Amino acid sequence: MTAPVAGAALPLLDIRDVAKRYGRVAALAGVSLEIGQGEFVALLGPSGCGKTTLLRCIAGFVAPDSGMIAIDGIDVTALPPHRRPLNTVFQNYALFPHMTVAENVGYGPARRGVPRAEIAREVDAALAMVGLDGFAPRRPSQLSGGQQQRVALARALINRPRLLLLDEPLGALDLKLRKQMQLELKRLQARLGITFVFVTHDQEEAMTMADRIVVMEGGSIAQAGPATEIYARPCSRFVAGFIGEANLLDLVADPDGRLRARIGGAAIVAPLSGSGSGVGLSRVGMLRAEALRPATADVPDAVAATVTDVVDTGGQVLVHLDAAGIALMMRRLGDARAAFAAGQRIHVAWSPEALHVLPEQAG
Amino acid sequence: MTRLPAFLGALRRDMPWPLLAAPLLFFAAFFAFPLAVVLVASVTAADGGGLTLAHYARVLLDAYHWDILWLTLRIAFVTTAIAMMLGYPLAYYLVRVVEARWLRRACVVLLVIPLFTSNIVRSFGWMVLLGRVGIVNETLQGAGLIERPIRFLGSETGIVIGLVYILLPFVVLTTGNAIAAIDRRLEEAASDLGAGPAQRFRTIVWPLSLPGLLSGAVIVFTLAVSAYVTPALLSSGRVTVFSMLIYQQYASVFDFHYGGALSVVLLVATLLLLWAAAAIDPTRRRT
Repeated sequence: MTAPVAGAALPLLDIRDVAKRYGRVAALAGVSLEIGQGEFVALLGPSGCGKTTLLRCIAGFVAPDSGMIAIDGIDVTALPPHRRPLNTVFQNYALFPHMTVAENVGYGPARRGVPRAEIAREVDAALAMVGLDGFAPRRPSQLSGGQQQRVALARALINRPRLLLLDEPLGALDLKLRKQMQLELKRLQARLGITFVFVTHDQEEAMTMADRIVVMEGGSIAQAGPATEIYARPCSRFVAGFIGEANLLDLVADPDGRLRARIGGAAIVAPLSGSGSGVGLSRVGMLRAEALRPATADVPDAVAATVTDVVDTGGQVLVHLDAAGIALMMRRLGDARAAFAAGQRIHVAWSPEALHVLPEQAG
Repeated sequence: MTRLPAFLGALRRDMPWPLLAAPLLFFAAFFAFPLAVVLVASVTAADGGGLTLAHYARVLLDAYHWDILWLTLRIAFVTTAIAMMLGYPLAYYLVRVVEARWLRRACVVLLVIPLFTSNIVRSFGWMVLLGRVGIVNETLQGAGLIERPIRFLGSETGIVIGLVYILLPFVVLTTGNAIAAIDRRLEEAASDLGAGPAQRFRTIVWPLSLPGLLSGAVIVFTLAVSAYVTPALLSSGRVTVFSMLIYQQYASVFDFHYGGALSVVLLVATLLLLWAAAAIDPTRRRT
């Protein structure tokens, strides 16, 4: 586990050994996580990995079977949601359909007994902050998805929570709006200094927004750390495959203490690090798709491969290769698209330091 | 005038006539036509002559009719109010408190089964229960709560009890549907924003279920105003409601003209009240 950001003596959110079962299924299998003041953390994973259950445990909608959750050093495990010092932006927003935008946004202050005139002022300020001035008298049904999203954000932020939880907040928006909101959310978070914890299954979204990514798998944390670290040094096959395009290669230790994988005529070689050594030791190596580059046959360790597919995504092309039965992916800039065609025989190479060997326990 | 062809064109485009044909025919044959017959009869003279408002004058200028109209509406109001007060908690309980699905189903079946039984049978049942030596009076006397039996039968109270029992399911079903349709995440959001259980009910569940409660109330009110069998049996002939007056004219006196006028007066009075209720409906969209 990565340490919380520097300077934070006490973590804002302290999750210890939180477990939750639904029948026979362990939604959370003892999760521990510390989140510091002002951090922007993404809980990332496929559906069913436990990220939403963890978020709902933090918010108080799900009571964990065991474990402890503390906010600001205060144990909130037994507190109902309305007594926790946090707010949530819900998936699909959960705006109150029978209230105006102003009544929605002013709901939190009204519960705290803030005077009417004060609420009106705060609502105006909150709506201005999310760029919705003048929308106060409308109904949620009269708003677009993006506008509803902003109202949900204003409704949560008006309470100035220490911690804001976001449950797939951008999932219902179209791609363009989504990209725009990602940046806006990040700016807003930096400006307000509020700790954001958001759940997503979109690795790109997590990489764009979060300071720290917590990858979850099967109710446990697979890896937590800064986005760049998770991308460059994933700790397992799962993490490597979930974030970005990864080429995973089975490596076997040679008598000379080096890991090798043979592809066609060439060999991938990596120094064997760590304690475990010995002939026959097997490890998994990861090569990011962008680490591969086209080469000529005379480049040392160049691998011969056949192009099987060229996927053009506009700015980039992803070239799928078959190297003597091993599938590889190579990412190139879009202007290289003309250089590849399915069925073509090419050579690819990479620099040895691009190969990341997964830790021993990796499955 | 230029808009009429456009309107007809739109009608032809947007109305699926083959789909509507059957209900329209049914509606015309069994509702519009009989209603038209009643309307025509109410404004024609008894001796087969021309148009006249004499029947309406006879109805509206007689204080007796106003008394009965007031009594009928009062019974319907009280019945509706009690049905709402009993029905809402019951609906909430069924939808939100009962967790086991089989138990909820069983409760709904229990609630609906009486609707399959004849009104007459059920009203006779109440006569047995509410009589001078019926179960209710004997229980109350046995418990020492009353000295003399209460006269339920032949009183407004008896009629209200019978009507509430028969009409309660309508409130429970409409309100239950409305409560079940409320997205639970709205309450989670309210909770997240600091609302405790009572505040969540007051600000979320209650306003969002109110339309269901009100539509149930409208059904109960209209059925209570026009109820015949239950008041006729439970009144023991001592209390007369408007529908009994109409029945007498049609079935005993055979005065279709006077009876028609009575029917139209009751219909108009009911419609006026529903219209007034809709005008002050708190759930109406403010735009």
